[in-house]
Amino acid sequence: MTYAIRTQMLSKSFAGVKAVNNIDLEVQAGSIYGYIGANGSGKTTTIRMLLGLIKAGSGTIQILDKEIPQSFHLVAPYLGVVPGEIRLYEELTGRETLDYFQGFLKSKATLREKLLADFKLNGKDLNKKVRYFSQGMKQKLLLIQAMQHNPDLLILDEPSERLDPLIQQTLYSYIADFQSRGKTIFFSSHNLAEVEKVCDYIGILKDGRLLVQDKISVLKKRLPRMVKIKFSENINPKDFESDKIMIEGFNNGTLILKVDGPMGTLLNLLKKYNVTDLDIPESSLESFFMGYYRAGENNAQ
Amino acid sequence: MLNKSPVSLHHFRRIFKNQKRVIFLVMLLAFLIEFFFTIILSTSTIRQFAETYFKLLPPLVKQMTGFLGEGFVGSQFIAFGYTHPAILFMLTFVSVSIATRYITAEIEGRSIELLALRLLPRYRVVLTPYFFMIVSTALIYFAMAAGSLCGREILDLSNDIEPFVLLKIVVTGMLFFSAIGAIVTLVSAMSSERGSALAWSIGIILSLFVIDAIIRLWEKIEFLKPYSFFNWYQPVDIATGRYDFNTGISVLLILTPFFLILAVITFNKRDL
Repeated sequence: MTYAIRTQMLSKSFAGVKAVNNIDLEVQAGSIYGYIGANGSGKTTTIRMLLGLIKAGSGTIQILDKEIPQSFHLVAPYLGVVPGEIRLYEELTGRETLDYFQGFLKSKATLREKLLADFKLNGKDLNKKVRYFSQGMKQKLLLIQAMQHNPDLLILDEPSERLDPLIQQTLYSYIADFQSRGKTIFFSSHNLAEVEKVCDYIGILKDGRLLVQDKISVLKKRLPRMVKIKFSENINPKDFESDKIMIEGFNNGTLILKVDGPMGTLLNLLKKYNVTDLDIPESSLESFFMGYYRAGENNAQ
Repeated sequence: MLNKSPVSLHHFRRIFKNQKRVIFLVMLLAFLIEFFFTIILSTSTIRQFAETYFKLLPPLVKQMTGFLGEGFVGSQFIAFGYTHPAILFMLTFVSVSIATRYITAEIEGRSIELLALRLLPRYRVVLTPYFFMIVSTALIYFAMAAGSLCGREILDLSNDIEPFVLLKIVVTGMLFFSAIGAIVTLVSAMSSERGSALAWSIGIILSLFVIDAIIRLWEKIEFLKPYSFFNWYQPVDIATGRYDFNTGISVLLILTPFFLILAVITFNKRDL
């Protein structure tokens, strides 16, 4: 298996407090990895270590098979980065900003014109100084500078912040397009719905520790699901209760169960009854995330 | 293939584009100051007045300004213009503002996160502004020398001002402010806030100036003169032939790379 990003036992402390604690990140090449956590959980610190901006306290980092920070210069041209909360050069125009960051690279900004059109930044906008840009326009500019040279790995720190919903959709379609061309996207966010919609892998970070990382589809299968069953006969709800199935409600012949694990046991049980309706909605990532955050690492596992 | 040249011309162009008006304005001011210094202090009545004035100064002040003895030469007065507080302030201001803006402010505003991704190796983030500082200092000295020479031509002072003396002053000044630039670059490379980098840089330079003044005024510690940083920028001494070039140039040539290497090492090792 090839990894675009791989860390082992990565840690960083600030003034004795562990901001990142023994993280083993595994971001597969060609995947969209959502790195999710509450504010202050260590997302940005991890990203800054990946980019060699801050030295890791301990542990190792590999990006595109190169050791970081020693070989960072070898992978840097293949990276596109949107940092969180940076101050762009206000004295430059939008076009000068794009030219400036592209000017350090030998590659060409092959995607720039398409990105400008899709992110709705026209020539008039680009000729304005960045100091006159709105927050949303600055974010678009950052995204375009990150993607204009068609990098192999995109590292995006909360990229949809300050973007309107339409432009968010454009961003998501670009992320999907990059993935379809074999590129990897590492994406930090605290927006669960966004990660669920866009990413195929997820890593959940809490207090500097990576609680879980896996394919979203695999994680979802592990989630307890709420099942709604309508019966045409009288039943005893207690017949369904077990260590993996809990009764959440029973009213007017409709039983609501919380099933933790495979559905096989429940479906076998149901064969004995006259069921008129069965609803098994997919669990949202939000409930999973909140489960980890509320119950804490040990309980959730 | 990584470009290992110490300076990025692409980054340099951005700094130049950004600072060209300020540098031009400072050059103009420097030119005018030296031009009028030459004209005013070389006009016979004012020159006589100045000579009388310097003769009347207390010995300690004479010691400090370098105007010692009798029979002043024209170059002495012109050289004084190169150490005038306004000139010292301008040259220091250029170094400090460039270092703090293009090193510390990049860290403070976090634009370093993109710059350090593109401007590799990392030492170029430090050395490119430093190189710009050197170019700016050279341009300002060029303007100052041009001001002196214009005054010399207008008043026909060819006997009073020797271009070779002027050249020696300019070269020494360039080396001196290269060392100042290296010191403020180190301060900026260590700082994370522009305000504190400014305060530390100005504080250090001011302290060095005050220490030099004390050493000059206090006879008992006169032996410390060679250890004073500002002792190695004395245009009046250069004009009167009292400047120890061998030691002066050597000291400045050692200090500049010392502080610069320290700045690069500090910046490479620090968290951004």
